[in-house]
Amino acid sequence: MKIPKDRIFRLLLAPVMAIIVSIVICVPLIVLAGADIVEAATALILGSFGTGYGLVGTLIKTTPLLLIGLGLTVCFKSGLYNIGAEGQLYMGALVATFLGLNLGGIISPLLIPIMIIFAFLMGALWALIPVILKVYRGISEIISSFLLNFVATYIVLFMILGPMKGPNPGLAQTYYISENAILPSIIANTRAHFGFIIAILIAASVYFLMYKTVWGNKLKIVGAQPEVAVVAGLNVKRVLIYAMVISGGLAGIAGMVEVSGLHYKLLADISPGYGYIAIAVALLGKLNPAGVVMASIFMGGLMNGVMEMQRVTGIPVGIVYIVQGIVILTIIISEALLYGRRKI
Amino acid sequence: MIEDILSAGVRIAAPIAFACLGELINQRSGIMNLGIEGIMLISAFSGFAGAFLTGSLLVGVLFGLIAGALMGLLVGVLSIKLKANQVIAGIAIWIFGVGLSIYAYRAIFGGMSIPPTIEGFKATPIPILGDIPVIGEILFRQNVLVYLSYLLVFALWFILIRTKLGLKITAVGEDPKVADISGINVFKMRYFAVIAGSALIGLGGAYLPLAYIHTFAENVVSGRGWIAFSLVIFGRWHPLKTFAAALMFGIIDASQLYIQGSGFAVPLELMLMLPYLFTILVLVIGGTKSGMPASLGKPYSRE
Amino acid sequence: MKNGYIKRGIICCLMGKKSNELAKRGELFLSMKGITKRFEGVLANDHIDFDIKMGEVHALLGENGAGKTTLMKILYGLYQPDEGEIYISGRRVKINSPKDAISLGIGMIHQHTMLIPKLTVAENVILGDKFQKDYLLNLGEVSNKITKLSKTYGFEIDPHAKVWQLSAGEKKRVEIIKALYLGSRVLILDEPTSILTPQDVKELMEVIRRMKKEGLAIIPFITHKLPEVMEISDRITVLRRGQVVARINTRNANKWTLAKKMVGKEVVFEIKRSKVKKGKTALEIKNLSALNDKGLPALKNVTFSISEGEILGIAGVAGNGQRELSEAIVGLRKATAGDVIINNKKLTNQTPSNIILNQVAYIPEDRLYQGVVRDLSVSENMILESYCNPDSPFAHKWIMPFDRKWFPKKQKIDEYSKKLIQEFDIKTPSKDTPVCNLSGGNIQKSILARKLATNPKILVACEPTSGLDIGATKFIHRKLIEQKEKGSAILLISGDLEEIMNVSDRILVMYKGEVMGILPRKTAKIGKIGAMMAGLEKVRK
Repeated sequence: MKIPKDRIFRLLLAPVMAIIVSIVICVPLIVLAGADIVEAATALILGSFGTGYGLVGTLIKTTPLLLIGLGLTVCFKSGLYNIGAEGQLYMGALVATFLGLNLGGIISPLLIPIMIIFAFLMGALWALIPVILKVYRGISEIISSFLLNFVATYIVLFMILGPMKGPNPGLAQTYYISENAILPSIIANTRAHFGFIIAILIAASVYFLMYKTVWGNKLKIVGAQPEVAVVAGLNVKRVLIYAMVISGGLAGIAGMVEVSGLHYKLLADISPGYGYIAIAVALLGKLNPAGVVMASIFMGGLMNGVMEMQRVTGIPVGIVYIVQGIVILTIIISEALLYGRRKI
Repeated sequence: MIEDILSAGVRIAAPIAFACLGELINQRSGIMNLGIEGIMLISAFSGFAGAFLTGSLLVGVLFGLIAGALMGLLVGVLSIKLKANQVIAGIAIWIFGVGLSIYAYRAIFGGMSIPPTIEGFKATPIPILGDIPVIGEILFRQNVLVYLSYLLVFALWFILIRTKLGLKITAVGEDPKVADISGINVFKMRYFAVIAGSALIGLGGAYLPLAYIHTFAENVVSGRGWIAFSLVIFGRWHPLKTFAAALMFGIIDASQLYIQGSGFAVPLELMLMLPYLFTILVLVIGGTKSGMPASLGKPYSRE
Repeated sequence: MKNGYIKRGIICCLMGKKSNELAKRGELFLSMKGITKRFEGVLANDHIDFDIKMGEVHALLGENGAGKTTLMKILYGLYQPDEGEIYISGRRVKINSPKDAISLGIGMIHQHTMLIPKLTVAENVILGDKFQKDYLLNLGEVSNKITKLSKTYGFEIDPHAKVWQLSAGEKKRVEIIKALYLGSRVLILDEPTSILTPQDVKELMEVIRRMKKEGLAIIPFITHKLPEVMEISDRITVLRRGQVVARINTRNANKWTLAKKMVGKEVVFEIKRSKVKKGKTALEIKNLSALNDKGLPALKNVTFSISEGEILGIAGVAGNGQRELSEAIVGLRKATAGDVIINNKKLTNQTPSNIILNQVAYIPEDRLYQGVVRDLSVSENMILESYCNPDSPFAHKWIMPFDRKWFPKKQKIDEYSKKLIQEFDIKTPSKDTPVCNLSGGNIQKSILARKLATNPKILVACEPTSGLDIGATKFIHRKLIEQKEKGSAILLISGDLEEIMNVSDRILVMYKGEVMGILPRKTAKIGKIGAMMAGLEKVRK
């Protein structure tokens, strides 16, 4: 199937297709659930970008998607597939909570950077395992990083129900972290928190790293044609390890941000699958930080809008996941159609 | 008491075994179907809805199979025709499956004040075999679907190892180019494998409401799909070994329930992690090379 | 076997053909007349006639690009000829696909193993068998047939062995059994000995002899393995540039004439050269040995040296160890024995970056997959080697307290690329065009520009002009000689003897991983070199 390689067409095909297919599938589902289409559509639009309240919700969802998406961009660019971002997020959140609970006496401007750094390190460590297995043993990083997701979520569950258990034994949550560990809000009287600023700053840094540094150029070459990289004398193994570890670290920061800015404690289900949805975000953003910013806003808005739609109309909450699944599928289908046999 | 644990173990293992065997067929033909969890959810619901609405358990089983097969067709089109990335497609199908099953359940059954239930499969002892001491209790006093799983294991083993069909599937998963040159229709084989395998996965999903909890709940599958995926790798893509791994998992799971009751302080979460950790360990020690279909996850196109 | 014939006969009937009678020994079985095939302006096959009788081995010789592969693919149904006819047992046939070829009794054994390692011999053999109607694998019956067949041809194969356990020679024989099992009477062998050890080759020769006795027809397609061809064939046809240049009965053949016919007439030296004084030894290779990708020995005790201001041309048919030699020198392949000495420093088994830092430049054989990053621009490709070099001029002097080596200086890079594009006359819309958009010649020029710009002391160039037109080729030759005159030591590897004769100062011939001899260009005769390339002669130095 030959598709014209018009640039704008290529950029917009995926999101537009995603929206169209989602509408096509969701409309009958909404009707089936006995809800009103107009009411649903209005709620969707208002909930995503239409009201102040909606925007705040979007911002909150965009933040972790953006952070993880940026990490995945770096990683995918090198040719490795990090499917373990979810687990890396959980590990980062775990460490951040631990610090937030136990080092609560340290003042905020000191504590928060400490939490960020350790969350990064923990996420990075969690990603280090699969990449070492890949680089030195040839084991697929897809399988190993993915399996580690479960290990991470169970470790977190264990900690929440055990050593770090909260006041209510029936609820899988920890105590609230100290006030000093909480990220300040950026819009007064809303839940919008500083994490978004952190994400934007990191977006700028990743952009700089990828396009303005020598290492960024190395990343590009290693990802494009590793054979040529070897011939040109590049240390391919090292580039791959750094790329994966950075993506793990950023996912860890996403975990920290969710704890520190939104929930103020660690929950067993702190992530509604951000680690997986961010894969779609990275692809949608065409592995470019600027694109990823926009893609994460799109996804965040979509998720928030659908949730609002669900809340207002009373449609079963499953619709959120249905839409997510459809969006990811349409993104990879459009990539496959446009680029034929290319890897992603 | 050991008998009870082992007997429960077999019961717990059955749905996972179906899913394992189904995914085994998929992967042997070269398709990495990561949407197992989603397929199981959708077929669990379909099976339940079918049984509830018609009052016939057989219809429920049928609905589960069909739902699985349809999802398999979707996976097939994505992987074979569109040559999309199979890993991400699988995850998308998982998410989609979570959504669709929740949605459908609430949409159709949401209004009820008490959750709907069905008369599920009951234990039907086999006449003579069921009376054998110890073994009879464990293996032959189960429900019909469990017996089906025994048959399926051997049927699958036989088909894969001893028939032309099985040889073709294996060839297609190992080296589609050689298979193509030898005159095998790679695409047709893969479609067959993914649809048949996914139907089996669907059977595994339908087992849960029909024979296990006798109702539907949104977390009815709760990770069994992923465990099945791990066990296929753990069992080196061999039907008998995979089934054994599923049984082992079932027994461990059953024993951990008993241990919990007795106050023995082994953390539940640690046990839950074990299948995944073991699979990683197996990969590290054995290397992914041995047993893995060489073309797993790679789409094929004629140059 | 009989069942197969009956069924094949039925199928031929269904295809509207007369039932295929068993051709007798000595009968003309296959005949190709006037076969012509064109590809995009290249005349791959030019009115080629070819025939073979049952019980005969008729070999097709020719270099890469002579047209052998095209002819072979036409015979097997993968291509259709533009002109010409094919006759089987006197009857005109059209071979539209491999399936047709197989049903006509034509079997092909590929150069590279087409078996599935995890399956057994028996499973591989019946993989494509359409005649077996049963659903069950009747491996017992199949195994018996295989055992009987292999006994007929004088070797033993365990039908239950897994293919990955077999040696290259045994795998080759499995493929032969597979073709025979499907009822082939004419076997096309594509470079049958290329992946085999000497022992395997001996055994394969035996098998071929037996097949001859049983009345089968064998067509080996060979590049240059003259001793083997002379030993086994009854007739030899030599192809050169798409045409038949010789057809002889082997017993009347003269090795040296054959060799000369393959490589062509004496060449005219076109390039004017100034006399360059040879300097000290720049590259020394001592007893170098290495394995190829399959684990078989590819380099055997190779010893030679190159001085500054000299071009050493490595002549030889591709696949005799040249690629492994270049890779071992630049650190891409492990040397199992021996030394690589660069500028008097022992640099055996170093990383590629270390070799680059020792002023060795490498032009890889595969320009598109190893030479350039296709999607990057010309400009970005120009500085590929600078990443491993901390003293590269493209590190940025940055005001912030960062390490020098972290930021590339775009302006400097742009200027550098522009200069090189001009100097090497690289035709590109701009320096920012993705390299894959350039023509082969210009891609190669950009690779050459980038490697020569660093003024390397040693340059290893593999097939630098393969696939290029005359203009680009001449340009590259000129640049190589210029570089030599600047004092570099150049190792030129090429399967094109004309090129080697034109450019080199000395010529080293490689055959099966060994050095057959090193001759100064002035006294080298084409015939002698051709003989060395074919393994017929060895010069003791």
